[in-house]
Amino acid sequence: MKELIKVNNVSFQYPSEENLTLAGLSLSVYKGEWLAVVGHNGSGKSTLAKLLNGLLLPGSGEVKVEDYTTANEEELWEIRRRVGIVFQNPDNQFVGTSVRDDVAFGLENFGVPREEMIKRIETSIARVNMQDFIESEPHHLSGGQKQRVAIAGIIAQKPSIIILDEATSMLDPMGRKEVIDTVKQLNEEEGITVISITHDLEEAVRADRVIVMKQGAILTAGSPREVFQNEALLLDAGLDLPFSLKLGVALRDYGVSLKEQHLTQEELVDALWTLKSAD
Amino acid sequence: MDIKISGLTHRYKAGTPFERLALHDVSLSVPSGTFLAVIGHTGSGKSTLIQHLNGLLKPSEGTITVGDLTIAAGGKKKQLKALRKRVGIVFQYPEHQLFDETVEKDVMFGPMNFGQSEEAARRVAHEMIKLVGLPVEVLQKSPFDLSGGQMRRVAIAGVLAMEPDVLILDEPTAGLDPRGRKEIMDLFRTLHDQRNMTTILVTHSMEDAAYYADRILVMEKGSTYLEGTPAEIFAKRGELQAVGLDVPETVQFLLKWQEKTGKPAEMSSFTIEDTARAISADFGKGGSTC
Amino acid sequence: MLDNVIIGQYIPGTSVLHKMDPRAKLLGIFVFIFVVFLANNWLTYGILGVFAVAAVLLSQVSLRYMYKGLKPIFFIVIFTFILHILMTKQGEVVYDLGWFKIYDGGLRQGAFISLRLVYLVLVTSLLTLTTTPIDITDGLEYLLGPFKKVKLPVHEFALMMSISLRFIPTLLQETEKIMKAQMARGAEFTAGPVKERIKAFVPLLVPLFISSFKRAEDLALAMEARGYRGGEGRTRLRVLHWRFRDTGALFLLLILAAVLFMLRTHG
Repeated sequence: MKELIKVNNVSFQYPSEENLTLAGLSLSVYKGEWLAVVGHNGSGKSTLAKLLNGLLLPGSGEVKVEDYTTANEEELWEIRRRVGIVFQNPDNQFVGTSVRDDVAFGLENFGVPREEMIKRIETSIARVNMQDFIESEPHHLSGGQKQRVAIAGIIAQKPSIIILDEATSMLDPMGRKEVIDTVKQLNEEEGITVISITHDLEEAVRADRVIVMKQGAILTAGSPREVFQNEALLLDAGLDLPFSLKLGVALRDYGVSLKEQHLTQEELVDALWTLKSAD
Repeated sequence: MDIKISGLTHRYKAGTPFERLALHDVSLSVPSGTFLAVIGHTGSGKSTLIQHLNGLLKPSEGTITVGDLTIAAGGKKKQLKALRKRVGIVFQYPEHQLFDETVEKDVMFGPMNFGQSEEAARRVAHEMIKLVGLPVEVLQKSPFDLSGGQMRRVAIAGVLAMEPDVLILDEPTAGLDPRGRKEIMDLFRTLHDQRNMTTILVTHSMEDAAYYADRILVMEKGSTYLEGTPAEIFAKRGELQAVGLDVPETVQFLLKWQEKTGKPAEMSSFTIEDTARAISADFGKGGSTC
Repeated sequence: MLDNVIIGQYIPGTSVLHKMDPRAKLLGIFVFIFVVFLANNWLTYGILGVFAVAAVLLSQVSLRYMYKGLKPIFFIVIFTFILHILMTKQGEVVYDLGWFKIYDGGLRQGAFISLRLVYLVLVTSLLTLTTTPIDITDGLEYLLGPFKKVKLPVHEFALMMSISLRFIPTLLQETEKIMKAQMARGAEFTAGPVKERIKAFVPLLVPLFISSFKRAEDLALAMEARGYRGGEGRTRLRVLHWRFRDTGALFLLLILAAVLFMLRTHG
């Protein structure tokens, strides 16, 4: 698999903080994968996101995106075009006075010619299914719709990576689903790499790869199956367990001898049924 | 304190090009001591409904009765303030309403507005800060030096300090991590039980509605859609799905399990514990040996 | 209570006024402000009134809505009117209370100044009612374009304005939300003596200030993430089209100015 992002032994400290927010972190992100980053508040997740497109620069170490490095100011713009971030608060990243203007904002910044801009805006707005709202003003849109517009603004720039920085945490369940479904489609159909920083473990369960962060370092990484196998480690990182794991634990407490962890309800039901049939 | 709503209709921005019918002929009765969960999509009228309960919005038609106070269309301002004393609201992201120099002053703001003496307000502030699980030392700090979770607790203490009979919670756990969410919800349930309050919880979480509420009201397009006990509501999965809602995870799981075993599973409790126990019963003594 | 503010509100529509080039509208208002000060007798104020009403009708904004939006300024208008009656002692006495006399000069002066206020508010709010804020900003950026040569940060100014305009509804929503939250805690914003009332706004303003700061910080970060680095090298999606009717409208205004100049009382 092609390596898109390489984070090499990066440390970072905010001037106002006593401790390192990130301490010697290394990480590779591969083309086309959906990478979930979990960890409780203050574990350094969001700082990591900002380092990946040069909004923050590492104190030591290096962040490389494709062949560019964030250390070189000339290359920052190339990196920012390739790595789009959807932030947490839907209102505070909507720059334009209408959906169309907001999607245009990034393209204008990168000097895309007007004719080309119009084409890209149309397609990217349609891509996130917001074509009926193209003239709408932000305060008439729901949180989920605003986040989809933010995604349209990013894909209009033809990026290779979308970072969701807790992008669904302020949304209602419907908005959350809209956003995740939209990004999932982009990931599957256009091979856009997704890095999702999230509290939502049900979402992390569906990722290709999960990273658990604690105190500015990676506690563990691997497939969801590998990572969520280790309950103790998750609890140590201050995380809750996904529903099926929690139920599995409770079932074992009641004497049902399940051998391993099951990530989804379907798997758990099947395992229980197999167990019962063998009874 | 009993709450009775009858024929409540609300027109939003009446008389402008943006006029919209936000509530249509809603009738509801909430006996004293009930823990009611209100669920429904954004824009279903939940927020409009609860704002009527403490006089922040006035009905376009219909009446709201809380205890012996009745508010009708065109109600008097004095009545509204009396209503606000009885009904406290914890709004979404309540930490956004903090403003004073110290936590103590901020928590005292509510009771003093309702005519408590400084002494009494200070006493109640101390009590409430402890109640929401914060150390009394924070009272002298600026609320803006606290963490997000602590700020939320301070804001909640500020509402509790008015010692309302009815407590309305508008998605009080939005934006918190799973652990913080559970702590806050447990706090409200304990308060409800200990202080014999009437609690109304607006939530998007079917799980919270299932665990914490005695009764559930489902709103859709400004009208009441379903109303009943959690067991009654969650037995109607089809009707919930028709408006884009669903049953809690535990029920989803039990339904899947039921499909396998062919035996109807019991669904009156919605905790993970009880779900696990219900399933383990199907394994009899064999389950524990293998 | 904040629902009634119409200044800054845009009402979508397809009227002639909606379709005009924002530059024409901005220049038009600029001219109109001068024209209003030309009027100094009943005839000229009458003509201006006809003009203002015609403009409102052309905009197709409902009269009821305009009336509601103007209500908040009625207080200022009435205040101005009364002030002039009290202060002006010219012309004949029309009403004599003994200790206090009302002169017809005061009545006229009060009426004129009040009308002037109403006309100005009416016409300027028509600008915002029929022009999206972003169009206004674009118009301003173009009109101020020549000043870029003398290093005036025209682009930054325009962007700042468009962002402020973009956030007005958001901040209004937020104000209403915080107001309600404090009212639920027993705060009152409308009763009591002035000193108390000013104090009552602290619980509203502090949270509003804090959240605006947070928003500004977030927004700056989001803009940077989307590749913003000043006006240089930027292309634009929005272009303005100056049409014949725009020239026509400005021409009409100049005629109005000329007519008013001739009909005003000289000397």
